[in-house]
Amino acid sequence: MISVESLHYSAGKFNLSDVSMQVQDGETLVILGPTGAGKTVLLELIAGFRRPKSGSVSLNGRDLTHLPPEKRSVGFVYQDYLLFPHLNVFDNIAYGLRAAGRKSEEVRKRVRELASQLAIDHLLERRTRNLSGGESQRVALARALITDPLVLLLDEPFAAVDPNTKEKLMRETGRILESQQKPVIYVTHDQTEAVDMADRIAVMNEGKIVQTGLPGQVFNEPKSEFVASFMGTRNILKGKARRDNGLTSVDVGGVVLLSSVAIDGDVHVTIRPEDILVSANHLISSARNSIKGRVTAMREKGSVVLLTADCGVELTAAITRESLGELQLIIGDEIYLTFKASNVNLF
Amino acid sequence: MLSKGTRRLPDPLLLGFCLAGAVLLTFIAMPLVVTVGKESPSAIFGALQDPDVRSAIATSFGAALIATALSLAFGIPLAYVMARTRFPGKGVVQSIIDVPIVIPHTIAGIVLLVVFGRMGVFSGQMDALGLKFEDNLLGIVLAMMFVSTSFVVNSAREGFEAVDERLENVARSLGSSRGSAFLTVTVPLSLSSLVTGAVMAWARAVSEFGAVVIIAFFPRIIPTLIYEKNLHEGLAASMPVAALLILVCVGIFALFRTLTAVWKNRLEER
Repeated sequence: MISVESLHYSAGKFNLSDVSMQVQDGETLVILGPTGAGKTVLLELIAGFRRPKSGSVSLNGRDLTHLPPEKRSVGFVYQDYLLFPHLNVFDNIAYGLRAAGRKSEEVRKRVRELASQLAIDHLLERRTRNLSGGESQRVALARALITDPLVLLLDEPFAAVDPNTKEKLMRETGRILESQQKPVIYVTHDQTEAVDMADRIAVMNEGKIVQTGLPGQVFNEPKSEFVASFMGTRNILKGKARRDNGLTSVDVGGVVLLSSVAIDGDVHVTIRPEDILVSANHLISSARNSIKGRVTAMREKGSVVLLTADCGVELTAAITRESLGELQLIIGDEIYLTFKASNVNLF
Repeated sequence: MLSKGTRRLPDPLLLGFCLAGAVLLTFIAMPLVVTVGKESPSAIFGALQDPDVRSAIATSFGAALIATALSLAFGIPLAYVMARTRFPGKGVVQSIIDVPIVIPHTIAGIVLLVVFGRMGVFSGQMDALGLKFEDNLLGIVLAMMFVSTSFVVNSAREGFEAVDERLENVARSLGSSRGSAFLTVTVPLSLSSLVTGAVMAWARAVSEFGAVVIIAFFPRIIPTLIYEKNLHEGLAASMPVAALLILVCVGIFALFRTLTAVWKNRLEER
């Protein structure tokens, strides 16, 4: 288990403040955040490439804070892989074993074993500059794994891979990470990638962890406007909440929504477009919110259509193409939007 | 749109620049070629039989080699610090590194004499250590090092700066100490800059006269020998020696250049 306790760091105008996290063996924590949030700096602090102003890093109870990188047993993969350009693939992977003074017999055996595990054994004699993005990523991962580090830090490992290969690589990497049973800290700015790879997600912004949780939680129940908009939530409203009979009613500017989140006062409201049901007539259902509106825009996005309606406030719902076809909607049509109180997230 | 005819004409700007460049190249090469061309091969070969000439060549090349080695030993660490760290006064340090390039070389000789000479500020300590600089090989090495060491430091610094520091990070995360990351990653990747700096420094040292002659007229280096011959025996006597030394210096420099080029190519093909 790796544990980070209230890490503080500053360099120039950049500040990283009060970052804490714990990652268990076999668990993948994804640090998700926009460019410049400090994700890479955080990894470099954990690896010992930078020194924190205060706070501590420990691995299985052993304090690493004042140890140099070479004494930490931390595997690191940078987003541009940074393979050693003067060494071929074999020598890149072998680097860590040679640094540890292993015999050449053993080096050869272990490099070959790991390379065949990662399906890169045919690349061993190649020069690094002729590798594709996916191959480089594999080699960088092998180079980091060969020393059997106690924790793996991956900095945007798929940023330099083309989208077609990315999915396949993500699946394979997920499998490799699982087989390693090490704590993994994985940095990305891509929400879908985060949800795919993560056991837990920590959202980072401006040098702070702003929310940590299971992928579903972070996605569906953002706790701040930043997380909501960064996770791609469309319906972000502001309102006044009042507790009332076990439910919360929120006035979002003339329209009152019901939520099951217990909170009072000024709040933000988020509703995921996928959670909103669209119908031509008022629906009789257990859902506590059903409001009337007029269609103002429709836009295809992937397999769904994003339908925006003016209901006093603007709300966007995601519906399938089939249901759009059944409803035969055009701009200006009157519709009902229906959603459960439990899908109205407040913070 | 350009017609076919105009497109065939060479670019007028490039043509003009080539002509300007040709003037400069002629200015450099012509005096050398003429001097060598005026001497018969036998006269040049004859100059090589002169023990004074041979010893001057040995002194020049040997002292320059020692000066370059010392520059590398002290300059590489300095260059690495300059490439990797930020500290107050860094600009001042860089200015000190560059100072030998702007100081007239005779003045460089004087300042070295002031410190290391027989009457210099450290003469007592130097005597106690048994070190003699005036009219000694040691003085020549010192003067050569003073005027050439900036090339080593600046070239090495550029080389180190071109190596992504994160490569060293990766090496360290794989268990290398900082020193071993430097030796196994940084040095191999900046080797061509290091070699270029060393060759430039060596060439600069071989060509130095002003600083050397002030601290050590003897043992004679190549420039001192030519100066003395020209002064006492006239232009005619110094010319065969000059021609020989042009051939030797240019030859060795060309050899270095070719070897480095071939070797760099091989590195890149790897």
